[in-house]
Amino acid sequence: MSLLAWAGAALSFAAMASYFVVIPRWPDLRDSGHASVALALAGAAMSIVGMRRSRVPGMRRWPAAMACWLGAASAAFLATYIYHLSYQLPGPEGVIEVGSRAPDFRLRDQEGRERTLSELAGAGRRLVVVFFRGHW
Amino acid sequence: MQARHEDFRGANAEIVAISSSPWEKHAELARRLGAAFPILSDPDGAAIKSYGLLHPDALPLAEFPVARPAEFILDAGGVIRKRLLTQNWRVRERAEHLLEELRGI
Repeated sequence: MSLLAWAGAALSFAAMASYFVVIPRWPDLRDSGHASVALALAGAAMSIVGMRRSRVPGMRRWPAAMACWLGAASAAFLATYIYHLSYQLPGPEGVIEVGSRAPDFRLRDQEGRERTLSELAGAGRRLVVVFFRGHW
Repeated sequence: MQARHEDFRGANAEIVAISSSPWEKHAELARRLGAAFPILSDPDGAAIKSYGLLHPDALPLAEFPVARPAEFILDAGGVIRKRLLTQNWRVRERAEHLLEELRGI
């Protein structure tokens, strides 16, 4: 019976997909990512056990093997994303230093109006300038 | 960030967010988040580059510049007082921590 193989693969896939879709609602779970990786690995393990048990004479094995690969690939992708890919950043060299004057800019805001740093900083307030990756 | 916007105001600070997304995309984002602070669009990466934040090859095949996530606290004179660089682009700075930093200066 390859039910276990499929259930494991589904768990692993769900753990991977939910990391991007649902988990961002809980910043602690998103930031560490351990819970999602653990769940995905558990799913992949279930799937492998399921495939091993599905060695019944006369029964086709490829569906279970396919499930197994799907589960393992989901878990491997998630673990790589969380523990490796997201750390790929250039070093701090070249980033503007504390104590320097913040370079001025002229950019459009969300209403299409041009704004400059000097205008934004001119109100006697401090500014928190947040750069983010965007395109989402 | 928007949820704590008033707290930032209380700490005598305004928030400005910048990415290379087109401003139309920021309009959508601002609606979704209910953001009242300016979200600025830097499609050519001019500001991203002048702050030294360009992240080359951040996204495969991307033809737009991508900034590494970073936060700067500027005093009222426009001088950088604090620079926060994440080691991991998946992990973003939280409003609470930025407020702590603001109060600590």
